[in-house]
Amino acid sequence: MAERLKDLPLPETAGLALFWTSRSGAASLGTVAAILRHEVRQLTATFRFRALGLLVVLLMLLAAMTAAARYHGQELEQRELAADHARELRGATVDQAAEILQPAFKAPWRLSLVVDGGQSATPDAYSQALSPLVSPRFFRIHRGNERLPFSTPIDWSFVIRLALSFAAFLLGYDAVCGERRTGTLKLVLTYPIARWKVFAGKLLAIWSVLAVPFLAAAALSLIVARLEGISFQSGDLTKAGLVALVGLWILLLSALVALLVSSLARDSSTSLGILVWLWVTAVIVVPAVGGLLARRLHSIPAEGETGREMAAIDQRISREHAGRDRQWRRWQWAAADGFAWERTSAEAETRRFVQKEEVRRRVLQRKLGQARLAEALACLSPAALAGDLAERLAGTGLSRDASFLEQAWAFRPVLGRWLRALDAGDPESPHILFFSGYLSRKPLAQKGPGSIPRFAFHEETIDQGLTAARPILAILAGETLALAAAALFFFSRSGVS
Amino acid sequence: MIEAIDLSKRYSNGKLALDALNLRVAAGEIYCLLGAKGAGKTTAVNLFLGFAEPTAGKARIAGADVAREPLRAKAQVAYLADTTTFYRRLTALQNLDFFARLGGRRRPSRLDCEMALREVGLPEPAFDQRVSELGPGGVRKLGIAAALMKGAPALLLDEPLSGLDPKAAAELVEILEELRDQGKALLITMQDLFWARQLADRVGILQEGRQALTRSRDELRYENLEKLYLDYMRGGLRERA
Repeated sequence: MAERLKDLPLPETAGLALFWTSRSGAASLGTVAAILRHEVRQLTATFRFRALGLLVVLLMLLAAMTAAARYHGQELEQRELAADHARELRGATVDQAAEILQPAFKAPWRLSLVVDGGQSATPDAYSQALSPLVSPRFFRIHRGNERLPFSTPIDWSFVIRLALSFAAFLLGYDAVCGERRTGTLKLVLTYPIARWKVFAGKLLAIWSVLAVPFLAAAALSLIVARLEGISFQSGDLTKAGLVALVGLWILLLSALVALLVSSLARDSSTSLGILVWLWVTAVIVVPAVGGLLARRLHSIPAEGETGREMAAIDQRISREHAGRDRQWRRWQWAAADGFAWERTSAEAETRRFVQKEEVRRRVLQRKLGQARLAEALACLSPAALAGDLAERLAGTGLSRDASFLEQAWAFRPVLGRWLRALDAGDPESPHILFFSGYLSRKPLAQKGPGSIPRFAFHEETIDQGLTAARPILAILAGETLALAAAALFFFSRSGVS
Repeated sequence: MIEAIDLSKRYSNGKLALDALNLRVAAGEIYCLLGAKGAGKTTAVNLFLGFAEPTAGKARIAGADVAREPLRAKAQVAYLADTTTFYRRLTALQNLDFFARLGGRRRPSRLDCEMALREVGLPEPAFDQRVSELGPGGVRKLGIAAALMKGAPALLLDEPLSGLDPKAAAELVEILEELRDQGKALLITMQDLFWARQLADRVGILQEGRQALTRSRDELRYENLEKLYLDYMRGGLRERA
């Protein structure tokens, strides 16, 4: 035996060769690659990896199919409402058009499968008439069946926040303490390799075994969504790619947490217990507490309160106009004195509308502010931070809702200019804008110059998303670096037995 | 090759686990460190492997100070313990491949790994068996094969015969003797006096962290190791090595 044993070629680290192998980058990468390969082989052989990988793939396919169904439903409903509106306008006069509600639709969200950001539940239509006598309506056309269990949409963001972090915890909870118990860690560390290489190999292994099914499922879900009829537009795939990168990042963060806890814990069951507790806290407790605190710290006026404010506006305007704020006469009688009373009433009603609209907008802004605060408080949890980051990069969530409102409000002057121009062309009109009964009685132009302006919702660009995401990116980068340093520190100092 | 110079270790709780250990294991020599549980044997091994910082003194492997140049020292030593287990889900060959890579081999061939396993007497059907299916003797042989693949001139073995049946223990002893004949330096901790007498070129006895005595193989021809050991365990004899 001895003779043959001598024939075994010596490893590169033996003797003087150690001097250069331990210092060369290639050798470092080689060792990390060997540990990575080994850890991947270990992890992929487990039942938990297969179960978790399958879960991720199934959830993402489900996300694609349900998002496509939501997209089609919303598209159909908006199309029907637009057709109703077109029918209403057909044959209408300028005078009548002033009281017709002009809908502005938030376009169905094409990337709902990637990150819905509440788009399947928040209002998607803002209908406003030019007449100050008609209040605008901000509503959701159709909510679907709220009574269905788990009606919250599943999207990539859901998978990233809940499934990927949990999967990384389940794969990494015994990465250090488990090997310490079996003694393999001690054996590994008797080899001439720096501890950071062992750490890097383990980290990359947990990360890569989950990154592969996640990325594959992401690509597959985009294909399924396309086949189901969602027509992606330019920039959509880039946004989806950015969200996928967030997923990979959160995976890294979760793997770091798992390794940190596994290095600190005495045994595997303690490590698993701590990680499950952290997961529940990050995914459920912190966002819930954020929402509760936001309700307390940034309250929204109750409907009664708003109603009282509106009534006060009514009374104030009436008082200021000495009770002559609602005097509307028939055309022929009013024409006799040049619509003098009506012009006073119109001025009062317009002031009343502007002030009430200010209250309505303030309430909406306050709602958005409350939701922003809840999001900010929830950002103490990396899972919530990831969700927020994904929403900002994709251009959805609160920013999409706020943008829709801004665009819908900006649509009102466009409509006003259009009707004012039509009315100005009619010398017979008393031009009391925009009160039905005191405007042009000519029919609307359906086509060509002067035709009805259409609302087109503009999505956020990628640059806007990246700019909005900067603060979150900075926080997440800081958290990642701190976690990496802590995990490496405790791994390096952890005992071997 | 393996050297301890006044090597001491006091833990943070104040317990003196090892008190001024001095030993030197030359190439082609087997040194058996005997002692009861808690005598400081494993502490000594951990100090040689760099898993603990010495409070005083030095541990050297092939001239490399373990505390100062841990990687250089680790490159020169292979380790095996009774508690050492390999990755249970992987086969013997897969385990060996991994540890060979850790030892610095870029791409160990299957042939190399098979050869190492054959050399330590692991039956061929066991090569592709999962470690969880190997018995303690098979795992210990795998450990020796991994040590061979590492190509280290020094071996540290912590209770390598513990838990083995007599046949497996005899096979392992034979392998260890052959390693000595190849010029390897072996420091073995154990409690089994029978095998210590069989194997050791020199024997040292640790008692509560103190090195109670050392004897060479020649000296042991005229002394009864069992009696010496029991005397020390009873605390009767006090002789500095």
